[in-house]
Amino acid sequence: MMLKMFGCLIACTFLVAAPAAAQENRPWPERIFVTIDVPFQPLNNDFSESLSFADTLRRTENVTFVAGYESARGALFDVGAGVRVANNFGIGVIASWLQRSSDASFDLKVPNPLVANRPLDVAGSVSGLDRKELGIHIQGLYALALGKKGRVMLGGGPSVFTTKQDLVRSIEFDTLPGFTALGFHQALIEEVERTVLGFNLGADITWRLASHFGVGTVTRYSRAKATLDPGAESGVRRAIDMHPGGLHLGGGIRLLF
Amino acid sequence: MKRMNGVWLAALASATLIFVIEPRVHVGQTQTLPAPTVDNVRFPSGYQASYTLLYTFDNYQNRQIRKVYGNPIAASVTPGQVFNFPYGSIILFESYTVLEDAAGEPLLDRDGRFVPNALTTIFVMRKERGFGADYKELRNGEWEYVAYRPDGTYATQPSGSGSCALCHLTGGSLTLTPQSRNVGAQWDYVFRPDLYFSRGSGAVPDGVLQHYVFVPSTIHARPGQTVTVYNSDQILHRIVADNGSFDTGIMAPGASFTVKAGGDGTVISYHCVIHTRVKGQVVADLPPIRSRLP
Repeated sequence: MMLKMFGCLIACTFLVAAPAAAQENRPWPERIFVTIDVPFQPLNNDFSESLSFADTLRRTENVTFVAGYESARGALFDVGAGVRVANNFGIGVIASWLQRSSDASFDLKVPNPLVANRPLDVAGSVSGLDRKELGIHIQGLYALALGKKGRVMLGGGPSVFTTKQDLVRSIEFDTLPGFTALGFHQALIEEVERTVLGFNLGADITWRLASHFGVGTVTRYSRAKATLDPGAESGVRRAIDMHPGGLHLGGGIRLLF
Repeated sequence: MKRMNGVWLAALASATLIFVIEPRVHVGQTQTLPAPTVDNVRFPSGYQASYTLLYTFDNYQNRQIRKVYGNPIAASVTPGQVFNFPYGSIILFESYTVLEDAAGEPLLDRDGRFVPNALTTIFVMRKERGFGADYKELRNGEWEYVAYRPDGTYATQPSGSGSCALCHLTGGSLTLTPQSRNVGAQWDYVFRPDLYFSRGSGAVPDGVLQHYVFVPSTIHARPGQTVTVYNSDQILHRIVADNGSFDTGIMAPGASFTVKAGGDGTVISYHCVIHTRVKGQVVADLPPIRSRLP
């Protein structure tokens, strides 16, 4: 879905840009440009964990743990720069920073040691889980003219994401006498950091307002896969997949040198 | 004085027997103990349908549950006959392993009772005229003993049942005297008849009432935990909660009552209405069993 949207965006950009190119405007007159944007990440980027492992008491049944982490939608902060290498080609780098707080729900089912197939359940939610995501997007750039003052800069390349995500490491619960129920006590949260490699594709539209200043919009889709392990009290291995990046739509200022 | 002498003589005789027999038990196990070689007891097929469950005893030492049944003859015994069962009496106990936690402690259900895991053995004792002679010096009345597996095969053959007789003889010699009113011609001892006649719960005790005192006087429990207190005194007591939430009625020696601890920090106080200085309480001040997963 996202790739289709992005494809349409690129196609439209070419359609709009083509007449401008015909006017023989120079789409990239400056040597270096700097972008400062505030994009918005509108897509669903929630993720979840589903874990099942043998119970130490009732070995024929499994403990199951399911956690769902809500999307971290919201505004980012982008700073980037590009340098023309030859004609309409250049290279650039953009740093994007996302910091959001979201909620998670969990459901822990523990086999009842006294009764087969009647697991005890403790469920709830945790709020204020931080997600911090620094993306470094390296791009090969190609500029297309868009009228006399505008241009579209198409770019793409690898992205490196450093993600810090609060995860539910364990649920601390009380077992009521007779194993009649579990009482939730607290959720133990662990911040897990992971650096992973992904990719990015994007289009930057710049509208020059002065010789060294302009405004623009940014459209970028980036994605990577990070597998996180917050550890476990029971020693079981965790592997929680989440995807840094997403669709970033926004605008900002352009400094041209 | 004569009675006391009888008790001491019986205890001494039993101790001597144990002292003499113990090396034989260690060296040759049960094969060296005198015992019948023929199964006169026989596996009591269908006992679940026709026998009466007398009581259930949680054995903390052996991590066992013992469900004790009697056939109609044995179950008809009154407290006055308890150490002189009629011929034809058959008493058995089912021995279950129990569910344990990671530390090997028995798990308890909501009533504070052990939870059965698997039925492993059925120990059967049967009393008939002339039974038990082959146990010789270990003879305990006219009982013979055999242990079976649930499928009816032998867990302990008749020839290995000398240890059963020895244990009953020891229990009887510590409890009974020749002057005991109901003792037959020889020892005729069964374990813990008070659990049946006084309706003791059989749970592991959290406290006892003895010599007009609750020991301990304060039972510390987890919130919601069920605790069991036995009347180990030699007189009747009647325990009521100070707030009137329970009344045990008259409790004979061996009887028990249970108290379910309240929420965190709550105190349930109780006293004997017959003996007003006999007071106790259950305080819910132990931490809950807390775990972390995953």
